[in-house]
Amino acid sequence: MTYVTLNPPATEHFFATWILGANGLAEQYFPNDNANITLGEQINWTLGVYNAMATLEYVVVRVKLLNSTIASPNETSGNPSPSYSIFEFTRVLLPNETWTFPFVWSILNVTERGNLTIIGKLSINGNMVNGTLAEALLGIKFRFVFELWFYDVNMNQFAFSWTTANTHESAWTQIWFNVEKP
Amino acid sequence: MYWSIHQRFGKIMIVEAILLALTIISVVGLILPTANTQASNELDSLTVAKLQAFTKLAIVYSSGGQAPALVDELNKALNLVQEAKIAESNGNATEATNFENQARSLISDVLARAPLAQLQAQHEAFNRVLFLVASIPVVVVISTATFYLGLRTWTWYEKMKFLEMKIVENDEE
Repeated sequence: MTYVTLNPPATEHFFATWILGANGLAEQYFPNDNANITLGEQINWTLGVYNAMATLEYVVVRVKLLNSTIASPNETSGNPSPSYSIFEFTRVLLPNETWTFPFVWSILNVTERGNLTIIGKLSINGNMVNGTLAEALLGIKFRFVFELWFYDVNMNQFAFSWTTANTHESAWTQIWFNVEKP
Repeated sequence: MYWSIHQRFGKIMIVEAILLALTIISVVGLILPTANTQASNELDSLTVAKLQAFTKLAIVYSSGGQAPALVDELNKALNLVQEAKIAESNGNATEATNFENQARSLISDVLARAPLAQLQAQHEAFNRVLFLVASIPVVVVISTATFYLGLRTWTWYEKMKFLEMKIVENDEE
């Protein structure tokens, strides 16, 4: 009994992250299931994070707006996408805690330069995000990437990946969409 | 060429005016960036404070303790810091400062109460080890008693079986 108490079975530690559609299920991510977004159209998602690290964790969900040419996070090397985050959500999670929060967004400004469609203004949960946020050829294949970062107390900095059984693990998710010409 | 007193006085006045203007420009130039730097410094110091608070709470949890109330308070502070950032980016400095002050107050409270939670966690961890160590002799005694009683029961059963066999033998004779 003492041995069993002192040597509990090895459990895998991980984070999980996901996106749900408007009705809280893994469907209906866009109105009428049409991923071609028009200006001002409101999209309702729910983001979720699960902490299975068995410790208290300070997590940051970094929202990045990419096109198809900017690199995705690399699961093999454990590197995040090289793009900057346009919005962040932070929270301290208890062991085994699940955190869900709404991600309501709409595109408020789009400009065109030649064949490029440039997203210049977004509304995320009622907050305005301005700038040259992302550009894509003919407005096709934009994507939101949600990267989960956590605060590494030993390294004294935020980290994107962790190591389990000598392999890099990371938690991120994405959804693709197109922007219709105004 | 000699200047009259009026001319000299006028020259001095012009020089003084230029010096005053330069001073005002340099002071204004110093104040404006300082205001912006101060606002970002406030947020930077908040960032450091919230990470310190988290580190203290992480120690509580890693030593087997729990402090859900403090975690909840820290989460409220994190939300306020986020609100402050948004208010600042929207140019609403007063609102940003208000949010920052509320967040700072909550983080200070967490930092002040964390050592007690750490102490409680250490105390609970010690109690758990003590219980574990104390349970070892109890487990040994119970195991030995179970083994001894089991053995005795088995011996008694064997004896009874042997006796039964003898009785049957005698009956047959």
